[in-house]
Amino acid sequence: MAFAAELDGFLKQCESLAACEFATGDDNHLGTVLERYLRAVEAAADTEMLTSILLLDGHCLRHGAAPRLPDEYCSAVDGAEIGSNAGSCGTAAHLGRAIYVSDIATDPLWTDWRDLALGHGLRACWSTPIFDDKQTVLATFAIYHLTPRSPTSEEVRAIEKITEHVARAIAWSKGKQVLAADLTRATTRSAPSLRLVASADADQLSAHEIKHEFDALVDAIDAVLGKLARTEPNSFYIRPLQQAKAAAEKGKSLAQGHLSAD
Amino acid sequence: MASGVFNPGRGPRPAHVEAEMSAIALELEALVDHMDNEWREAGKISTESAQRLKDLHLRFDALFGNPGQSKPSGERIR
Repeated sequence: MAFAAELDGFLKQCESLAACEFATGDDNHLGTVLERYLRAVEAAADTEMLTSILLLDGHCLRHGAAPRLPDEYCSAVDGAEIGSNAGSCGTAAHLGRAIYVSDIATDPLWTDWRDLALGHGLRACWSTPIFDDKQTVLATFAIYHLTPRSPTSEEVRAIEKITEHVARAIAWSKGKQVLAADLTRATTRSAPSLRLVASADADQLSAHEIKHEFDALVDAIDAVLGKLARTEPNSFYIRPLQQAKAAAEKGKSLAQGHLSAD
Repeated sequence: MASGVFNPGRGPRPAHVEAEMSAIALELEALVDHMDNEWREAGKISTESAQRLKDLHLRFDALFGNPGQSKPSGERIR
């Protein structure tokens, strides 16, 4: 299994924050939002991987976000033309379907980009187009591996989930025509921060809203603690994480106490 | 992987993470105490405190998204 169970929670947190930022104008910088998604995906991955998002601009792909890919590689790819033989992302954007290249060293789609990729140790690249609600390609989401490999069916399902989330974030940033329905759906599902800010505007923060915010924080800390328990049980930062969790639990209890009193 | 060409390294350095996570924990503890006072004295939470809670959550989110290895990728699409 390539992604831990935390992936869902991480994506929902990202969506919550993105919905909040785009809705309030707090920070509508798409690159920052996309990078947060990718970091969440990489953090939830059980295997070593690097991710990127390229935005389609006419017939070219522009850099969107790639938290851990080398700058030199990102710069070289920025502005690349899409086509039927243009690496994983350029081909995926051109054809409008996922392109999973399991070995960059031998795949003909990578002929023009092979030396660049191999020079940075990249051996596999799975790219999936991201569509808007009219099925127009907006961007590509790619997962790179440092060894040749193909995605499992579980990984493909996870990728579909990730691209759905990223598509909404891109749509929100493009749309000053933010779809109210999208925001409502995101808020209802998982956006305590959005509700918190909306209420803050009215200076009427309820204990219920504060409790939701602490709930989300506790869940986030738990997710990290769970991952560390499996991968780095002696990590230096488990103690402060536990300290933060205790504080968040206290805040949650206080809010719950006020809820009960109301 | 081509040795010496690219070191993907996972996560920021533990010392950095530990320091920032400790700071977040301490600030969160102080904030919770402050909120408790606000509830008791004013019956509601101030927008400033709510924003501080949100900011701490954002810092936590950024910390475990590996900022130490980050580059300002968004700059190019500003």
